[in-house]
Amino acid sequence: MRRAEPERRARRLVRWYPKEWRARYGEEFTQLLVDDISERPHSWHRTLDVARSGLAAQLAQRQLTRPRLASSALIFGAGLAGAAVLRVLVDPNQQIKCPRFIRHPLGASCLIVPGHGWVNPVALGIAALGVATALGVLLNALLRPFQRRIVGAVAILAGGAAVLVWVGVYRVPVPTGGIFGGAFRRTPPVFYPSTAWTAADAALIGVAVVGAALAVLDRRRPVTRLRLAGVLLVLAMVFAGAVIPHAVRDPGGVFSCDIRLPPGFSGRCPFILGSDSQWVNPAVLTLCALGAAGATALVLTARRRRS
Amino acid sequence: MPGDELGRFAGPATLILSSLAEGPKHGWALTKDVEAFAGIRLAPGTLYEALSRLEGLGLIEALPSDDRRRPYKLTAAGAAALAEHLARQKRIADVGLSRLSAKGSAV
Repeated sequence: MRRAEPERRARRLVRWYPKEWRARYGEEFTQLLVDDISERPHSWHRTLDVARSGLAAQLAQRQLTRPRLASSALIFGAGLAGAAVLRVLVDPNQQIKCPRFIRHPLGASCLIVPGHGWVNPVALGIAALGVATALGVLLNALLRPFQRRIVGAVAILAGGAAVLVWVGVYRVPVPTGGIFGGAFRRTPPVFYPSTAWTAADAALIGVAVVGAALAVLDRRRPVTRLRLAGVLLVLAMVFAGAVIPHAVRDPGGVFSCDIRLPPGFSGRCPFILGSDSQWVNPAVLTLCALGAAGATALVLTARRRRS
Repeated sequence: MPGDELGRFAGPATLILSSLAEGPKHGWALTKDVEAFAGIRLAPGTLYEALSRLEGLGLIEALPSDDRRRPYKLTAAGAAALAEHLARQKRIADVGLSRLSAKGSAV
């Protein structure tokens, strides 16, 4: 082992701990790790112990940093979108079929993976929350500021793309040939063929999500009431951007049951906000989750700064 | 347990305080000393989790150091907490041993 190797590995392990903890114990803890690594070069137990202890220190700090919350919210959105993509990939021609006479709060998301009704969305939601929290803490612990910005930008793009995928699952034209043909081939967009409205939705949502996330991620500027109001307005626009075009195009809007099942499919979905539309409910839920997370993060950050 | 300041960190904390009862030690010296007298190797993360907790409780305090190996010493409060904790453990051990002994003689 090279002489500098224990030092390098020790410094990497210390990154599990929050900045405040490292400022107090970082140097002496690094030295202890160097001594330990020099005596026992390879130890999974040591790595796991440091990771566990570092995460415990992170939680003990109880500081909600904006990158942590923003990455958590965005990854949560990406996780939900991943579930939608999974549904398409698992069974491209599968329509949403909820058990008759059963109405549950997650409505249209009841068949993400075939079978088991409401269990799948609940399990996926919990998993997405856990992954988001863990990754948020991990990114904040491991990444240097410039790396954090790169990851933040990627997360923003992923969040925007996730919403686009979610909203456009049945409406955005996708290649049906080539290497992706098998994965994405599906029923033609018989429900909402208007790509113009899809593009409008997508642009609004993408811009809004990116803008809101950038506002939360930008740590150089303090969160003022004006900025807070602006971001909340943008998040409200997201909601409107997703719902209003649909309402304008259809006389009944989101408050009518306008789903038209193709031959061979049966069943109907319980509704949220009065809508039976198969894409409105998950899209609204996603946007609400993103908006609530972003707004909560901003309010908490603003309150902490004032105090 | 009421009056037990060590709480859920009692295991590592007892080992650390017992080691420091001999005199100030830095992290690596603590690790080796505990390994020698208790046969337990405290992992680095566990050790510093307990050290920071004990320092926060005022049971130990850091001493100045010229290098990165910062020594810690037992405070008066730490000595009192350790004595109380060990006395409680001794009472429990005595009761357990005496009952085992009585059961053994009855059998």
